Amino acid sequence: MLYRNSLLIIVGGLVFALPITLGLLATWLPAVGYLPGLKGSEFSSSALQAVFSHPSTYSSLILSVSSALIATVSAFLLSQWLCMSLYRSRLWPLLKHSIAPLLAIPHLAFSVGLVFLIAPSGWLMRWLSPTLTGFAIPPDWLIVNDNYALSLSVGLMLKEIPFFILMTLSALSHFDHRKTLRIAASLHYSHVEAWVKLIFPQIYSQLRLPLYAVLSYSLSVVDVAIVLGPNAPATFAVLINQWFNHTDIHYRLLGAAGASVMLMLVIVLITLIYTLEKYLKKQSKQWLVAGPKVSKNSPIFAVFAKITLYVVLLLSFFSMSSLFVWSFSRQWRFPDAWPSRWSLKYWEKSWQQLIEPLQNTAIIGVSSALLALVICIVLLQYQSSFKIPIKRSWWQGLLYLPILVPQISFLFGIQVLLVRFNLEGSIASVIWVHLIFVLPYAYLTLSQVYLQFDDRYLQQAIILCQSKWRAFVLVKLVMLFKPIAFSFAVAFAVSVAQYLPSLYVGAGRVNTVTLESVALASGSDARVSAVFALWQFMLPLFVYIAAIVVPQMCFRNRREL
Amino acid sequence: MSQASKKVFNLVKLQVMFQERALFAPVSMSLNGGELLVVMGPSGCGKSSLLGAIAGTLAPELALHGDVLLDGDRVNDQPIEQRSIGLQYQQDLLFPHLSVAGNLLFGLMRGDKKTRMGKVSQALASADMEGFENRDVATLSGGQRARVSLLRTLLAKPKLLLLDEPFSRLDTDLRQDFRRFVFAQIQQMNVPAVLVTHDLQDCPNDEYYDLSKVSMIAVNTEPKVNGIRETLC
Repeated sequence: MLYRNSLLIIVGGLVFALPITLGLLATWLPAVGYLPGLKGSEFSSSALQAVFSHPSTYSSLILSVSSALIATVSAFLLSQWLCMSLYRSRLWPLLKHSIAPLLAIPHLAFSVGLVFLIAPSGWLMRWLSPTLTGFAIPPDWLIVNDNYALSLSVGLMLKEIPFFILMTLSALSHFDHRKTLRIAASLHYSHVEAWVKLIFPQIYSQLRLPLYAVLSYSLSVVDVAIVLGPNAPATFAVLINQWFNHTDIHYRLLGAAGASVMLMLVIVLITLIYTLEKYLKKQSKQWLVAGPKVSKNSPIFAVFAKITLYVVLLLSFFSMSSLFVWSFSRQWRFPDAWPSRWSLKYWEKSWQQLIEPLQNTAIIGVSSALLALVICIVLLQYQSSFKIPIKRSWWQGLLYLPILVPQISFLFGIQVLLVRFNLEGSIASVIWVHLIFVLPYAYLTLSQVYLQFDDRYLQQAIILCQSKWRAFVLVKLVMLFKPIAFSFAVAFAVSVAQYLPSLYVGAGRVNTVTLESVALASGSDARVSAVFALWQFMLPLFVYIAAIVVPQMCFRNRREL
Repeated sequence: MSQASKKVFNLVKLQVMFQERALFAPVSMSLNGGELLVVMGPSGCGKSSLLGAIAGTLAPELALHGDVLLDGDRVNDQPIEQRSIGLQYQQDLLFPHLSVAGNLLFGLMRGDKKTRMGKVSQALASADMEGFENRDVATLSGGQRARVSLLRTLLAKPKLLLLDEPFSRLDTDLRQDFRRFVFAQIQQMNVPAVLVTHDLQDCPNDEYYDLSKVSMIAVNTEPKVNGIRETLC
């Protein structure tokens, strides 16, 4: 058993942890002054000192920390509050069914749409103007890219609420929460008290890693921060990115030092949250068992929760709709609620510009998703034949590593290593670097169903067709076709959404839809920008739809599949 | 009628309707403290709906006719948390994040810390589980879990106890033990109890209520062959 566990650790370590470790090391060396190929490089702390003496650093750090904490904490609390308050309401099915489409929207496309909706010249203002506001020209307000990074916080929060809800629903499915709530009610507990004292403590252990992942992501995100975040100064991650891409090559050292500071920041904040969690757990011990506080269920909670859910849904819906409207518009003067002239011109015009990035995105997405699935199926088959559960904490930690470690803290190191071996800028390298981030999602979406598969089907098949491989492919893989297809779609969508990996490894030679969308989002023509953002949205959407429709077509006469 | 309403728990012509169709014929029963009524019936005859109607956990698409009376009050429209009805399922549903004492304290009303802890120790002693206060519930045996679960329900001082096939998950040996424990506790706490089951052996009395026939059936006097086959399926 020990041997089998260690083999899994080694393989898992090679797959999930090695690229990140190498990337981190190759980032830390330049951070302490050593960058091969750069003249006059020697070990020193001057790069780190330069980070802290840079005029933008402190305000950037404050912006990053505040926006990440606001976005993560509010998305987490709101998602928990929505689940608690809407659990017994008629909106529960709506809540459950709305998260999948919301999750399918890439962060970047959503951010671009949100800009079109809430900007001073955005759709909301056009609806209100001029009748309610009196504006005939867009007001001179800084709503998007505001100096306090509030629009960035709101955008991230809106996008993470459905993710937390998904994680909560999945955690709820692991125990009999309905009967638990009934027992609590029969012991005189109100719904809210029962949820806070019994349901939340039981699901939190499964929300912990997603919570840390969202915090790390919000702290270090670059593409969304470029679109929604402040400019002068930008958030810390954007600042690091600017250093890395500075024309003066010496700024790379600054970037590497900044990237290491970013990693430290993530570690410190996660440790703080962990400590807070332990502290609250200890403090709440007495309170948990102090007995029911006899109070009635208040309907006001549910009303506010309903309004909140509608606001989240409507903001998301209209953000995406504004992309559609802009992409088909020819002329749209300010206070008009709708374009005065429509046309397909910008879809046609951008097609020339789109062919190459679209092709690249599709090739990278399909290849990395396929590779990820093959690796995951090999790992899972190994786990299922030796009954190694996925719940082990070291295994969970390993899986989450590529999601927890901020991308910007190690991608530069990977770039340095690839340049060293002349592997930079090829599509194969980009596929490989996407694979690092695609793998955890492919594994997490597939593992549960795969490990629950009743292997007696496989045994029967092996006995009948006398070939392990044929039995495995013709029976197990075919029976698992639906979850495998879904896992593929998720992996593909994750690949499409990648910004920094393509930027750092593609070396400007491998262009993708996401890279183009970010480049176009800052400035240029809203209509072209909308078309690109829509492609970034539709590409994964097509694959999601195919992943649902194709298995249904194949098994249309098979009710049990 | 006047005699019946003096009892602690009364059902008067209770019926559960789904789209204007009754799931079973009207049920009337009355129980005093310490009395146990066993309800049997084939699956799908509405046993869980009957329990749901009494406890207040009926699905919204099901309508309730008749009266549920507890201590003379009609509780039909009260939410479950105000009815003071204890629920016991086949799963013990111990809360895994709380210790044994934590689970038991959870059901106790608020009050002085020492008094509450004393009640917990007393309850554990009655189940031959002295000194188990700080144990993790995951380390208990199946029989111990079942007993802690019942104690938790009873410590909340329910006016009525509903038992939904509470023995069906236990091994044959444990089942006999736990049955004795449950029946003894019901007597001791002087609480009326309704037990729903498939298993004729769960019935400690000489008769049970057959929901598919809506009548009391004697256990000792050779029951109708039909009745038994249906109750066991």
